[in-house]
Amino acid sequence: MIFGLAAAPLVLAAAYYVFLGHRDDYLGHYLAGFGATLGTLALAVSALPTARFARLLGPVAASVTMICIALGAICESTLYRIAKFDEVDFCNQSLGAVMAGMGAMTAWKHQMPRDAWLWCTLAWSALMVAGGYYFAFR
Amino acid sequence: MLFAKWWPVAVVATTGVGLAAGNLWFTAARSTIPLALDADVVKREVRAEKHPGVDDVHLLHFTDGTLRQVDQPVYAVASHGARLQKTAGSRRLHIDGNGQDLIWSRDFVGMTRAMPLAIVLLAILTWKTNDRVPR
Repeated sequence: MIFGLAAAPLVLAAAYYVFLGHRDDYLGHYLAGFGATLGTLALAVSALPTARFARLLGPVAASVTMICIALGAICESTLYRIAKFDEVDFCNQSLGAVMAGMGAMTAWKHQMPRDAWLWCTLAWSALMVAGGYYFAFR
Repeated sequence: MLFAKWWPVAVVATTGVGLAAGNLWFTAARSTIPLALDADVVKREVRAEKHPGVDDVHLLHFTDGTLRQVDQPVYAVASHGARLQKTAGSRRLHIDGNGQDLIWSRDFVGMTRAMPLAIVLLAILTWKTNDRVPR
């Protein structure tokens, strides 16, 4: 669970920071995409019926990830369109969403997030979104 | 059954690889190095982004109707009315016949280091779902 939801995405975040530190808004978009998608995934997956959880996790996680990417594209072209639709910003935030989707399919394959794990995941995703805003707009 | 088992992982992982490739392509294209050009600049434009002076968007409008975002060094040498010519992959941009060397941006160089790592991480995550993908 730790690798999929924390270690792998943080390794990539560190790579953004080290290799693309002069444009930390790229890191911000990546973190915001990861956090927002992970929070949505946690809520969607925790609402699945327990008996069908193992069967539905993959399709639901993939669908939610794609929907989040589409919503991100809409936000980037409307709410956050400052100079123009930035393709690189879109790729970075969507890559964050993909890391959340892959992390969810890896971390929750045996057990659905609930109770303390669900709240921890939601808190973690909120922290990532806050970090994303910090790096994108500071 | 195999398709039903693997399509969610395949769709998400493939999308991730495509996005990493997109990052490389879009940052490379802004240098114009991978592009073929043969058109006149009819309008130059700088649009401010979130951090004016840091992430400004430099735009060139061409006679053929295309609008390209370019790196600042390209924008600086492409004056209004100038004819830009180059072949795809060439690092030499001809501006009204005068040659100008092109360089990769820090964005692209950074992406060449970060995006392969992203693909490796996606491969590891894909592998970790192996034989335990929800059925």
